[in-house]
Amino acid sequence: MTTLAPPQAELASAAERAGAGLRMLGNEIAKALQVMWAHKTPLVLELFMASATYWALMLFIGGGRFVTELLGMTLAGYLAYVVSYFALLRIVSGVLEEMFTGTLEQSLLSPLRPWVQSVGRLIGSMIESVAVAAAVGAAFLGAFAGLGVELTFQWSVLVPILVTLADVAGFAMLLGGLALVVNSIGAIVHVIQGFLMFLNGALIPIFAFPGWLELVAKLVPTTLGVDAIRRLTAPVDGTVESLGDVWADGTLPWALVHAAILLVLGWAIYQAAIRRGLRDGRLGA
Amino acid sequence: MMQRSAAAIELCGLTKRFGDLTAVDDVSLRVPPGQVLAFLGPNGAGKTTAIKMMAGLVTPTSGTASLGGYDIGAARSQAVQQIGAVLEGSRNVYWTLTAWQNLLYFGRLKGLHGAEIKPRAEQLLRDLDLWERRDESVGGFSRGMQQKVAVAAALVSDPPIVLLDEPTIGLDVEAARTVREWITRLARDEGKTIVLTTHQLAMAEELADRVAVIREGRIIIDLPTDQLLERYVEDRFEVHVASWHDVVSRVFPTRAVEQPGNGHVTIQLPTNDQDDLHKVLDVLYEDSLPVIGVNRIRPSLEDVFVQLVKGE
Repeated sequence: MTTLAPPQAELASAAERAGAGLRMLGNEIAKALQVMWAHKTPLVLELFMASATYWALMLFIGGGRFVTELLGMTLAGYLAYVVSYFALLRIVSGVLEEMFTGTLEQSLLSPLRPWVQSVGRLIGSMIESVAVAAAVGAAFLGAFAGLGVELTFQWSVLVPILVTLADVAGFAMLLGGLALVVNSIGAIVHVIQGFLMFLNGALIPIFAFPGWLELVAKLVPTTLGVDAIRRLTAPVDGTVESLGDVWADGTLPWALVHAAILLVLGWAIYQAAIRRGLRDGRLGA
Repeated sequence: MMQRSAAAIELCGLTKRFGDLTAVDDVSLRVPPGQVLAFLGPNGAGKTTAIKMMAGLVTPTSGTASLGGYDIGAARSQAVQQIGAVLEGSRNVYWTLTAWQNLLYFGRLKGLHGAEIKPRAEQLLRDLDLWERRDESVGGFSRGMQQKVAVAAALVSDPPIVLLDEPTIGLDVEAARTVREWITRLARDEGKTIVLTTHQLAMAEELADRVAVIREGRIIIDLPTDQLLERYVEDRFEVHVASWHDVVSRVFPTRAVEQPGNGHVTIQLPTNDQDDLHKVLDVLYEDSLPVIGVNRIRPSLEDVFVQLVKGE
C-alpha cells in the first residue's frame, strides 16, 4: 500500500529547494520551447509577414522608394516591435490555450509558485521572439548593405537592448496576467501591437513626432530603449552618440525605470489574476 | 501551518459561492489512505468544484481541504505533491508534445529529477500500451489513448492520492474498460487513495469502497458502498418457480414474468412480510410447483442514486 510519505519539500534544505525551483523553472522553459517548436510552420509564415510588412511600409513612407536614412533609424524600432509582437502573442495565446485545454490547471498542481511558472513561459517566449527578431534583423542587415544603409555597432548598445527586452518581458507578463481575467484580451493585444508599431519608432523616429505625440510615445513600451539604441547605432551626420549621452539626457534612466515598473506591474498583475482566477474558478476548461 | 493527520483527504466545511450561487455547501469528508471514494451527483451538483477545491484549483469561500495532512491553502506546495489529477472536460496534457515529453514535463513539474521519472514513465507507457508511440504527439492519438496519457501524467510522480473527475467520459467501451482496469489496479495493487466522480455507476459500484452523493452542493449521503446498498434494499421478495402454471395466472396475474430462454417464472411480491411469503410458498407447494429460489431484491447503485437525487 502506498503510504503518505512526508513530501520532499518538507525535508529539503533551502539550497535543495532553490535547486528544485531552478530545475522546475528550466522545465517550464523547455516545455514552452517544445510547444513553440511544434508550431514552427506558422512561425515561418509569421516571420515572412514580419519582414514583408516592414519593406512594404518603408516603401509606402518613402513614396515608392527606400529612404536609406529612415531604414537605419527604424531598424531598432522595428526589431523591438517584432520581439514585442511575438512575445505578447505567444504569452497571451499560450495562456488562453492552456486555460481552454485545462493544462494551466494541471501545471498549477506543482510546488512551484504560479508566477515562477509564468516566468518560465515568459523566458521561453522571449527566446523565441529574440530568435525571430535576430533572423529578421540578419536578413534586413544583408538588404541594408545592398542599399547602402549606414549602421555602426558598439558593445555598449547591449545595455539599451537588454533594457528594451526587460521592458517587453514586463509588458508581456502584464498582458499574460490580464489574459487570465479579461475575455476580450485577444482583440486588445492586436490593438496594442498596432499602437506599438506606430509609436515606438518602428516606422518614423520619435524625434519626428509632434511634441505631444513624442511624449505619449515615450510612455509606450520599448520606445525609450529603441530611441537609445537608434542613437547608438544610426549615425547622424556621420556620428553616433555614446552610452553616456543617452544616459545623461535621461533616455536610458527613464527606459530603465519604465522596464522596472512594467516588470513589477506585470508580476503583480499576474499574481492577482491567478488569485482571482482561483477564486472565480475560471482557470480551467 | 501544517497539521499531519491520518486522513489522506480531509475536507472541513468546504463551501464555495459564485455570487448568489452556492456551488458547494458545507462539505465535510474524511478519506482514509487507500480508500476509493466515489463522489457522485447529477450534473451541476458541485462535484467538479469540490474536486477542484481539494486540488487547490478553486479557492473555497470558507472551509479547509487537507491532502496528506497538508492544508491546500496554507501549505500548498506540500499538498499538491500528494496528488495527481485527471480533470473533467480538459485535455489534461499537451497535445502538441509527445507522450514521453508530457510525462517528463509533469514529473519535473512535481520537482522530480529526470532519472527518477524515466523508469516510472516507461513502465506506465508500457503498461498502457503506449510505449511504441511514445515519441508521437498526443494530438494524433485517439481519444482513449489521449486519456491514457492523461492518466499516466497524473501518476508519473507516484502520488499517494489520485483525483479522477469523470475519467471515462467520452471514451469508447474498450478505452473505458482499460481506464477502469487501471483504477482497479491503482486501488487494489498500489493502495492509492482515489476520489472518483463518474456517471458510470456500475463502475463506481465495482470500484468504490465508499460512496458520497452530492446534490445541490450538499452531501446527502456518505456511506460505505455495501451499507449504502443494504440501506436501500427494497422491501419485497422475488420468488422464482420452474415453469408457468395455472396457479401463477390465478394468484399473481400481474406480478409474474416468464424468463426468456429457460421458461422459469419470476413472481415479484409486493411485500417483505415473512408470513405473506410463506403463504405464497404454501400455495405453490400445494400445487406442486417447484420453487427454485427466493430473493430479497437488491438494487444497483444506479437505483439508489436515482432515488437519492430525486430526494426520495
